Order: sequence, then C-alpha cells, then structure tokens
Amino acid sequence: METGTGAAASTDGRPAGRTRLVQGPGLLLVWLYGVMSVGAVSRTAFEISTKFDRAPLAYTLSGVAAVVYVFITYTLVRGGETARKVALVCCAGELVGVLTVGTWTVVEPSAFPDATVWSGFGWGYLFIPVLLPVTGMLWLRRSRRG
Amino acid sequence: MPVVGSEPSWAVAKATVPRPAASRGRFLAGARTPGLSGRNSLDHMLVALTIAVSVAALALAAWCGHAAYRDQPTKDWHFIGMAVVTVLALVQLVVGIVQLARGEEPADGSVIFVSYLIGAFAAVPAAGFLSLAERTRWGSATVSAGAVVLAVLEVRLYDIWGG
Repeated sequence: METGTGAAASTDGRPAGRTRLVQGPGLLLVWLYGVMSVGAVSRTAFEISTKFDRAPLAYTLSGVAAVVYVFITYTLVRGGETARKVALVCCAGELVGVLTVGTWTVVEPSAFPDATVWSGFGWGYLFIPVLLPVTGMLWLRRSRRG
Repeated sequence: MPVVGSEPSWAVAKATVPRPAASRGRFLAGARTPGLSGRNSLDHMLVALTIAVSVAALALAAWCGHAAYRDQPTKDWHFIGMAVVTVLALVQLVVGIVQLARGEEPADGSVIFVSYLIGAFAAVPAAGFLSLAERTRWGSATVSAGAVVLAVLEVRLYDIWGG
C-alpha cells in the first residue's frame, strides 16, 4: 500500500515514479470495480459449482465478466503507465462485451435460461456494468502522465 | 426444498414474480404451527433488521454524498455513522446465522443467504477503510457508494430470505 498522496509523493519514494491510478475519482472507480469483481466471482462460482447444466452459456459468460472485472481491478490498483494502457484496452473490451452480451440477451432470450452478469446491459446491477467501462476509459485517458 | 436461484436477477424477480401466497407464508407460518412461536419473533426481527439496515444505509449514503457535494473528506462523525450501520449489519448477520442454526431454510438457499449477509456486513467498513487513504471528496463519494451497495444487498436479502 502506498503511503502519502499527491505530487510530493509521486516525485520521490515511489518506485520508478509509477503513475498512481487509485486517487481522486480513481478510488470510486476501483471501489465499484472491486464490488463487481466480488459479485461476479462469487455468483459465477456458485452457479458453475451447483447448476452449470441449466444454463452453460449464461454462466460461462458471467465467468468471462468475472475475469475481466478482477483483472481491471488489479491493473488499477497496481498503477503505472503500462497498467494504465492495459486497463484502457480491457475497459474497451469490457464495453464491447457488455454491449454484445446485452444485445444478445435482448434479441435471443431463449438462449439464456438464466441471466448473466451482463444480461440486458447489466440492468440487474443498476446498469453499472455498462456505465463502468465508459467512466473507466474517461478516467484512464485523463490520468495519462505529463 | 426451494428451487435455488430460479429468478434471473433481483430486479426481474421483484418486477415479474408475484410472491406465492402459500410457498413461504412468513407471517402465517406461526399461526399454522403454534408450537414454533419462537421462530416467529426472530423472523420478524430479521425483517425489521433488514428494513433498519436499509434505512440507515440510505441515510449514510445521503450524508456522505452531501459531504462529497460540499467537497469535504470523511470526518469523525461520518466514521461514527459507519460504525452504527456496521453494528446493525453485524446484528443482522448473527440473527441470520441463529435462524439457520434453528433449522430455518431461506427461500434461495443457505449458501446465498450467508454470502449476502457477509457481503452486507463488509461493504461499509471496506469503503470506510478506503476513504481513510483518500482525504478528498472522493473518499466521501466512495463511502456513499458503499452504503448504496449495502442498501441493494438488503433488498436482495429480503428476497433471498422470504422468496
């Protein structure tokens, strides 16, 4: 855990002056990604271990969402320019995933006997899944170094 | 034996699935089985706690949201508020586990029930801990978001217990 905040800490003491992503609005972003990670991982673990045969496609897609959330949370917490770029790409991929799965569940509901995390663009999660990648990309673009 | 997780999500479950009149009969069960009067009082307590935690969480969300709006970090009074909400959630966790130990079965199953109880207990302290390192309005905003998460978990808990 890094100590200290702001410009003073980023000029010295930080290994290689790694860009800190968990500050200001970034903290709220990481919190929401963390919540979605815990939610998606525990939900998927339960569904796959107890009733995978009921809706294999839906539960697999939830698993993909869980992996994406965990990975983005990790890159945000880690910080640094490389992590920022990787997180930016992942957020774009996440947005494509939400829009694709969301549209798929609306157009062809018969393929989904049970819901996924991204069903109906994530409306079971107050639409946070479709809003997160957008705000994430805005924040990651803004926190570019220099 | 309840059908585990037959509903797609909490929002869908609330919107489209009418509460089956005889499946759980939370308020009628005591009348039908007079021998289990103890069950009734704890059951009511769990419902009352769910409502109390929801109201407290929404109040905390509004309070910390107001602090964020006024560009203030979380202060001592906010942490006292978080402690109150957390104690309520802890009492709910204990009462819920006691109910399970007495042989009560939540409509959606014990595993989901306990998972949500633990999540509800952890949400606000975790957000509060994060706000200790972020002494700006964004720390307050994060606690506010944590309290909203708790309120949503309470709505789900109500469904998970009652069906």
